[in-house]
Amino acid sequence: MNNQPYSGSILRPQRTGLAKWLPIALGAVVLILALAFPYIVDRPRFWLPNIGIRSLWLGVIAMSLVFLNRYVGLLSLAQVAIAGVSAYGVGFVVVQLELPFLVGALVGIVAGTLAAVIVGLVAARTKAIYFLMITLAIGQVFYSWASQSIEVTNARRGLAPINRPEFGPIDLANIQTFYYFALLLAIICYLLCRYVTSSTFGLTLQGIRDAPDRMRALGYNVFGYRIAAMAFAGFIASIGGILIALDRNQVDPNVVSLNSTLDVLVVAVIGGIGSLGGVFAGALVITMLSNFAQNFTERYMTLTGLVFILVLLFAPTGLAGVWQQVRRLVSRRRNAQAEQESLSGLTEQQPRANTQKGTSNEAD
Amino acid sequence: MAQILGIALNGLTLAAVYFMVASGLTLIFGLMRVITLAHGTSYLLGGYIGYVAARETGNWFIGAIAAIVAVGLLGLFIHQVLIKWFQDDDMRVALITLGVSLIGADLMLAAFGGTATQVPIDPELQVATVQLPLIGPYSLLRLLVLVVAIVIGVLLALGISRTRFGAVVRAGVDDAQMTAATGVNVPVIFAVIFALGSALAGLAGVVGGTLFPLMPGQDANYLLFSLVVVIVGGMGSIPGAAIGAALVGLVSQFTLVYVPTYSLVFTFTLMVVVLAIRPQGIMGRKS
Amino acid sequence: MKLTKKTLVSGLAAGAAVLLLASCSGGASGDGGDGGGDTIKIGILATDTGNLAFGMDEAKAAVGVAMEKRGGTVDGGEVAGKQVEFVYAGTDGTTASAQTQVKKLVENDGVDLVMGPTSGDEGETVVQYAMTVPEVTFVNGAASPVGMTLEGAENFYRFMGDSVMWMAGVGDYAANEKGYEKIYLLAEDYSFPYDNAGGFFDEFCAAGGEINGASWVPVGNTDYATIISQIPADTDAIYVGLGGADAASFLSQAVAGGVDKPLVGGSIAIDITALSGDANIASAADGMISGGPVPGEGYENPEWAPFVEAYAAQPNAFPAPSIFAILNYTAIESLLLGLEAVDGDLSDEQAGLREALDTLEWESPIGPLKLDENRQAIVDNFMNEVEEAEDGSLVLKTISTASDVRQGTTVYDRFETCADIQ
Repeated sequence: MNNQPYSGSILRPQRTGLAKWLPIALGAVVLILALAFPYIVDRPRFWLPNIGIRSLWLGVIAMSLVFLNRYVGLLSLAQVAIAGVSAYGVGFVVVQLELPFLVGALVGIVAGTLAAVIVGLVAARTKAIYFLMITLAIGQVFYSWASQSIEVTNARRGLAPINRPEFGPIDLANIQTFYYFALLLAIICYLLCRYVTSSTFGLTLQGIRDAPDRMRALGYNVFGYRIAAMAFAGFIASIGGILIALDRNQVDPNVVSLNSTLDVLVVAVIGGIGSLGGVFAGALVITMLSNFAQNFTERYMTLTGLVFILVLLFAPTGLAGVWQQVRRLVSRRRNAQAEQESLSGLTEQQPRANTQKGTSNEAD
Repeated sequence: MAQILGIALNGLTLAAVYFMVASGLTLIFGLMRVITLAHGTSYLLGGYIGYVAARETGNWFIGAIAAIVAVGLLGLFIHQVLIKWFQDDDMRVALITLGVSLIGADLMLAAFGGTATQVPIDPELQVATVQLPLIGPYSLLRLLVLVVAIVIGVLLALGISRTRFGAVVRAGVDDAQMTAATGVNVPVIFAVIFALGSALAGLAGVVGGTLFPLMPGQDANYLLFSLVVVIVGGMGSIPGAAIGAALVGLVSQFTLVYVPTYSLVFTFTLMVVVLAIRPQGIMGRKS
Repeated sequence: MKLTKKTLVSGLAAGAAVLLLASCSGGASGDGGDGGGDTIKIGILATDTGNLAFGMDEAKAAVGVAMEKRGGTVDGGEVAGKQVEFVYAGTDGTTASAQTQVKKLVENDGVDLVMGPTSGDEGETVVQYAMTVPEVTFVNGAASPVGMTLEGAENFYRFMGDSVMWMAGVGDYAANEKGYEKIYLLAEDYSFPYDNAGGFFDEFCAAGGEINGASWVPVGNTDYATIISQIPADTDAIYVGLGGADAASFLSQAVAGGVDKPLVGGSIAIDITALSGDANIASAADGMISGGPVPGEGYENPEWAPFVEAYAAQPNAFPAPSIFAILNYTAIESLLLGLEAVDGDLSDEQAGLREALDTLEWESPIGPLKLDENRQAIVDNFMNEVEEAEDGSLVLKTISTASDVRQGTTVYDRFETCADIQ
């Protein structure tokens, strides 16, 4: 079983019985809850934007991060900046050029995807830990440029207002309609990600993640595949950026600040750094915390940091992996019991130690 | 001409502070292959502790010693409690230290507030100037900072290349298992190095905090600059950190004069350029 | 998960369901605005983390002073025969946080009125949001960007001056009384310093002064040594458009760099606590002039002393009321006075209250207050000078007051010379 979520494995044992149906049933329940969300809560005009929609775009951007980490072995802290490029694309076209929203959305997505390719060209030759640092730095460069550039981003004042458009009967100014629109986009992004990961492209990426030299020897253009993966993740993040622009009705440097970058990382880790769907659970936790933690404690960031560390220490697969961890704990106890009952004197299996350093996320 | 030399000297004295912070980071990475993203937090905490201690005792050196000891011990604590268990999973360590930095930043905000402070030093020393050839009067304090950084750099470099401890460290860098097999207590070495690296950041905090303000946000600022310095200079190399710091300091000061709004952008672009030409950094080794 | 036909079909089904629901969505139910029953809920939006973490304490102090006059407390009380309840929401000074919290106040907590926010960045976001909830009345806390009322919302009121107005009178004083001819501009590169410096230099240039150099430094820059070396020798004074602690940092580096010029500070450059800690800086700051809504020593207004006394009795009070306490007080007091003028009647989409606020005139602790046609206040502005007292500490003295200061029509951007702004 996979003990190291930060370097994945394409080998998965076949699931049977409950293990096979539970994720599907869980997914169905989650989907139904998401669809019914506006009708379940008592004050939809608060819950929809502050919790629902925010969780959706946080989740989408975190999903792009998880995709890169899980299937390519690169932890990118530039995804928020890429989403920001997309959001600024929308803002610039709509506010400065005064063109219709769809043009802005197109420009945003293209700009974001291009930005992701550029980040990849700069950073994708490096080892994972370098990649983390470089993408962090690149994100901060973009933040400082956005804060200073009056002509393009209107510096710290930002670009506003970005009004939600109407598409015939679908009026996004209505918060409930916008929520469903965002939900639809999130579902599409999720399905896209799953499709890509199970395609030949996705399997090739995993091969590159695990054994880049071998793949190179087989004739694969490792660097090219990584760029393509970053472009795809950039595309997903760009969609998140469009949602941000629509949700906040403006773009400003705050969207790509260090705090925003860390928000998405925390979402991914808590949700499950190896799970594409789990990120939404993580996003829910973060949005609930940021809205309601004030009622309990002033030190909300300390609380978040503590939760973050606890998850990393004890539940590295995050919320999405909780079920598996519980099962492992239960089965370990069952095994221990069984062996105590048997008198054959077999020594208890040691948990597999992670002694192989070289295998985790080496790029070159 | 005098002006250009003056700006260059400003860049180098700024680089002195960057070097002190980055040296701790590169030391830790060089030996343990882990990146601590709580390094900026160590800087700021060192500065705050130095500020409090110096203010209470009226003696800057006591402030510096207090910071070194406190931050070093904290580093030791973090290593033993949080990092030791996952030493091989460098990504996980990076993320855990990130969590530590989140907590640290919030707690420091609660303890010291949001307004800026500086580490107090003898007022006469603060304004004393030295007459330099070609440049004219220059701040004595900044020159002292430069001297301190050079001394520390030389001590570190010599310590690693000449002493027995340094030899053990270098051996551990190259092959931890073999070094352990020869009877060296590698875990203890790791703990010591982590504490030492954190203490260096703490000292940098006191020194930097004498010249520049200490406030929330400086932890992230110095972390980012140390990352850039280490990437440019090469991981695990003290001379590399010195070169990287010098480049970063010079670029940031010269761009502040000619293109002030984009000074930060140019500094990071330096990193991008180095990566494009020589991904392992100027003095880094391809492993 | 393989993309089998089954998953594809279920995916499409989910997507179709979502689209159907989206197009069928009617209006989401609204909330708040009409003061349900006899309780009026007032939301208070202030910063409680980040650089301005004391913003919430100061806002509470302001509410406390205003309510205690009426027999109430910081949590609520009786105003104009109705029960008033305060709901507090803390932000971290960012636009995202402000949006989240103001939505929480209005949509989740159902407040009828909002006072806030604290910082400039948040201000413009809150105005944008106010436009989407016309049934709620907003009164500004301490945010000073010009655009907030110049291009504002019908339901957004500001009972204080903007960043440009805060330097009213100082440019004239610098040119005519102090006799400065050439001033070097050093300021942080974002909107507040643009407006604040614009307010000063507009007057200064019109009076015949000249800008002989400009350095707009990135926010977060801490090393001023290189900039200091750029300052020309024939400069009469330096305009310091930096925040209090950065100004102190700049000063100490200036002194070390051998620069000994008189200073003109932006409205937030003078922070007595930042300047007092260091003998060298104190001597350099002696003589610095600045402008703003906070009066210094020597201010004669019968309303001021009782306010200072009432403030001092509040929990977590500073030795003297900060700019946030003062401005939040004028805001909440104006709002409560408006409520009293209409006996707490918020019906008819708060029309009565808005009319009362439009025509409100009262003597605040910092001078007479009334509004112009953009719901922007016409105020007094204070010119202050830093003086070294006999015991060596620094004090702020009010040397002049400008009355009837009105909002201009310019929103300033980065500028380098007088020609740029004249």
